[in-house]
Amino acid sequence: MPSMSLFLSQLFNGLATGLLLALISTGLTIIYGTLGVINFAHGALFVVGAYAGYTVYGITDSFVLAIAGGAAMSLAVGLIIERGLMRQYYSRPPEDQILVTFGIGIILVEIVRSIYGGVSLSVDVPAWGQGVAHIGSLIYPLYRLQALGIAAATLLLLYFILYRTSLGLIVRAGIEDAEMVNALGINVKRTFLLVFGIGAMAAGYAGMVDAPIVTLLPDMGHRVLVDSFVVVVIGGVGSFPGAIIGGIIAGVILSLTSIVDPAYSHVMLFVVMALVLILRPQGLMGQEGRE
Amino acid sequence: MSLLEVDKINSYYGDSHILFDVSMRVEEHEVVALLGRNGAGKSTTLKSLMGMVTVKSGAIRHNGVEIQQLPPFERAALGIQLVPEERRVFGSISVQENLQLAAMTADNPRSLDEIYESFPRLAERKRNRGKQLSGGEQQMLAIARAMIRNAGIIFLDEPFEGLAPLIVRDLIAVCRKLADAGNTIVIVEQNVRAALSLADRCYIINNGHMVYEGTPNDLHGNGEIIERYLGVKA
Amino acid sequence: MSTVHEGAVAAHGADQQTAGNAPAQHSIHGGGMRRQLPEMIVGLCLIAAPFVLPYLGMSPDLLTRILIWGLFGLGFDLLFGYTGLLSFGQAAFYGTGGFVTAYLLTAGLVPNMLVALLIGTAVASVAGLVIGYLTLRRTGIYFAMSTLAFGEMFYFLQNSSFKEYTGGENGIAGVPPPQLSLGFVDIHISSGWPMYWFVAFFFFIGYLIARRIVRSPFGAVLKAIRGNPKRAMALGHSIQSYKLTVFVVAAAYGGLAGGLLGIFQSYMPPDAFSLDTSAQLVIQTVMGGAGTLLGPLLGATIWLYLYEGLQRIGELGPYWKLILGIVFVVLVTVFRHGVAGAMLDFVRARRGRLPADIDADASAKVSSELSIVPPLATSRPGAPVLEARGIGKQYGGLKAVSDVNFSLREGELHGVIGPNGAGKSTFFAMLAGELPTTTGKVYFRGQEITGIGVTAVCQLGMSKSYQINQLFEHLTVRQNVMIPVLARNRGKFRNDMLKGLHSDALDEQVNAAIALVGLSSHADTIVSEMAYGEKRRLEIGLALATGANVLLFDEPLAGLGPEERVLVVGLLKSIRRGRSMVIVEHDMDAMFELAERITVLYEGCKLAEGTPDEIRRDSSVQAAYLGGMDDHEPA
Repeated sequence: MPSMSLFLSQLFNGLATGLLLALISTGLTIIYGTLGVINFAHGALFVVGAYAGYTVYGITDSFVLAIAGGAAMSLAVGLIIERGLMRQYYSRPPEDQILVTFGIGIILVEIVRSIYGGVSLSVDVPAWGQGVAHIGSLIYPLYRLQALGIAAATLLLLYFILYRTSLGLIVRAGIEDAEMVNALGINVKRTFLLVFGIGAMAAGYAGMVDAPIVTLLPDMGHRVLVDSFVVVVIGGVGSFPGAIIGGIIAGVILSLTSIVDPAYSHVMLFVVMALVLILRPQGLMGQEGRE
Repeated sequence: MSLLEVDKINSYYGDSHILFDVSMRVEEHEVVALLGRNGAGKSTTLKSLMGMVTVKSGAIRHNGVEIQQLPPFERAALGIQLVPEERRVFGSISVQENLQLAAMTADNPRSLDEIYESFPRLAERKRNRGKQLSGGEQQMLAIARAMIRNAGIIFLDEPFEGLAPLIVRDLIAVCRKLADAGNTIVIVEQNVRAALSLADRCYIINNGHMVYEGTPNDLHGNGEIIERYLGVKA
Repeated sequence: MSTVHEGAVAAHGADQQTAGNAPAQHSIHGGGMRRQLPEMIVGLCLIAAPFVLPYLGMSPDLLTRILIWGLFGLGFDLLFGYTGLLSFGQAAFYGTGGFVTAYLLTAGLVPNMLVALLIGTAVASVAGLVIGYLTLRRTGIYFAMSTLAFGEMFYFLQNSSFKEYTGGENGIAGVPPPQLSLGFVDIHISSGWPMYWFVAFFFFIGYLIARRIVRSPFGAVLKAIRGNPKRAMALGHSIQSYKLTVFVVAAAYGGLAGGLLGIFQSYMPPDAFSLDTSAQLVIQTVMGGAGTLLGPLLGATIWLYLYEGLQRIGELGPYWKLILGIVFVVLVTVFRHGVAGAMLDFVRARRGRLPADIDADASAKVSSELSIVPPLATSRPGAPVLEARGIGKQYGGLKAVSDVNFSLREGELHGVIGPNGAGKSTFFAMLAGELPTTTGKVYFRGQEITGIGVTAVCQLGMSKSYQINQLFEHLTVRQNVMIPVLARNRGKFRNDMLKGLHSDALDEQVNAAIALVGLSSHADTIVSEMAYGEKRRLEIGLALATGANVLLFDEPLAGLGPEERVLVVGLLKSIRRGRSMVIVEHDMDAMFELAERITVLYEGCKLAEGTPDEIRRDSSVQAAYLGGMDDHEPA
């Protein structure tokens, strides 16, 4: 029988992982909801953010700047991808979009590998994050708690942007009926650019926030890609609340099942995904028929 | 020079040729009705004017300037506004947000208060999401979106379709007010009576060809034309 | 109004086809041999390779590896290139087959290597059945994502639950080298060229089988599913069964390839299950050209040769994957069909069409009358062939259709008209058995068909032609028309993947249907290159080719110019014999010319019904069209 403190610490791990995953998946799902493109380079953008942040951290010694740097880098890469390549793909079948974003993902990861090498790198926990926190009887690494907080705060910020700003209004209406938004005088294409950028930025930002907790490897993007896909399938494509709920569920499943056996945890996640596919194919909060 | 001049346009859905050399004109402050049975090409005409359907040849001129190459959002910027057949209000956002979205890029938008005064029903439901509105309320919202933009020319695509007669009566009154206020309106309708009660001039389309131009009075007197193109006489 | 000829349509461009008068043909001499040409070429290349390719610096090991990927890719190409299903999880089956085979051989459970391979392939196929069943519940993006996830699940399973069998991170080492016991002699297959021949043999067999599948009736349906799955369903095929079957076939190919990998390397690596492996397969197939069967082989050659080549150029070595990634993106963007596809496109552009596009033998078949599905024995004479009793459809609070009775008599041409919003589309969909009713039932020759779905209805003998063309754009006219005839001859599903496609039964019916709609001179034209009017006629032709005795036409004249309208009206008249028809149309001239009886729908209810003259004189119909009736209150 696992001890209470083990259970609690895994629960917090799950929430932290889950919220970070939710952040990444939100980016993925918003891109799909507005542009109709499923971005197979999303994991690579996570990696780009983490490594760019690592460099900035090394230069400036400021973790905050590092996060900003990581986010900015993946934003820039995202904008370049959209402008340079994706434009031509909107009228092509979804399989082509999957293939080209996948190829771009490979290119990005290889560029990272050629710059930084294939050896794992570690990012130090920032000074204000070192040490432990006491939650009741539980002793929990402080930074992980902070990461949880950062992720939650960022999701709230994204919520604010989506639901309380003009840009967010355009995005939400655009997810529903982009052509009508166009007819009301708004240049949706320019909005698409911004949406892709924000989605990319979310991934890169999450990459840097996660960095002190994990070791950096160029191939870590694969796991992120797969996990965010599972989250999106569970939560429902195109749904912001779905990404959050899906992320939390995924994170908690991964953490709690690893108490039993670490190797099983991912298998359990896929089992849950299989169940969703059988019982409610459009996802928990997805719109029916949205392929 | 007419506010809007349509010069022999040919429109396509993919490679399906829908409009054949269609021409018409709209003068400022006019209400023009575009009539015809369903499938005739009325909606396609409006969508072509708004830029949502491909026009492969011919010209569309707004105040003398050719606009057939412009994307929809640029035509909207010129003051052209389509209220589409399916209404297409955004179901996931509120009435107020629908209106705010519409007003975003308008040069000289009306105020929300003005709109709520003209549409008290919408004021009552301002926090409700689009999908929670009834058919008539959605139609009102769709028209209100065009109004808040202070559009120079409003295209109404089958505004009375699928609505109960009482609602239709209310909507006709709304359109009447719009017309009296000097707005330029092109109304596409199958409901011939309703359309003619509002129009200064009318056109008839049949199988993608423009077959008639005249005033409501002219048309009333011409039972032959009415039955041939609008009714069910072969 | 032009005069109409029985059985054909007179038009500029259309032939007047009489029996036996085949259009000009390429020589059909050697057509049979020509069809086997790719197999012969591949066979020759496989034999010649060991003598030629070493001069290009290719070792036997490299070639063997390429062949294994090529074999893996044969199955994947059937799945993706031919059926259009992009799976990112094929490594699951590669690994499963490989590890089962390796385990059986190393644990000494099965001494015979061939049996071990067979079992490995079989287990991989079962895995394919399970995963296919789960993932094929969705299509497109969801399908790709879930195959990716399940592929990963296998990767995790290999390293956890099944670790004691698979060796976890270490894989299975010490797979014995293959040996064949032929009774009196034992052949040991050592590494190097003997291994190459061993694997090449399997590849060649795999290729022969794949070629048969592609050219079988089963294969024709796969291509239809890729082009327009909804229409393939509506023409009578149970596409889910086809998809699942080809998924299992792809899994089998993957399992066999995996098994051979373990034997080839004497070692089964855990990364056989990885996402990288699935991805490599996809990339190689796309680079080489999907839908060509040899694309994956070509792609594997590019990938592995480039890899080895770049390693030799010292500085570029570590960047091989980056360079490959760039090459891949460029190929997907510029050459949409991969290298092989680009070559085929080039040939097609020069020659006008490929030999494969033309079915020389097929068009020579004598055109007979297009046969019609005979009525069911259960139908009573004099009873309506199609009947709707009190049907209605309600969506939440909205009543789209209420309480409509409709009946179609044998041999009748019945029109349905009504102003916008009358509920015609909903009514039509219910009548066609596509849409379940909220109230009431629909009967086809006495048998209830309410909401049974398009495939079942088609198999019963009723078919619909669509308002917006639903064709198989990338196939020729002949290949299009084959699809419904195949469903009629074979039922909604038949696993005949090793049978030949062409038979007299098929070709004669196909020719008859093509002739009926006046497209004989375009039989081998690819649909996307045809004019709209011709496509519209093909649209009708597809519905006719199902052999349906009851046909529903949804705005058959939509988008046609004045002359073309005349032609299609003539066509509709000419096909009446032996068939009963319902037509929805807005073109009143055409409607009144064609219909014997007309039903008028208004606001979801039946407003009037009668002969064209009666409808013309009906004042309530006029009022409905002209602006609603003042005293009419909707339900």
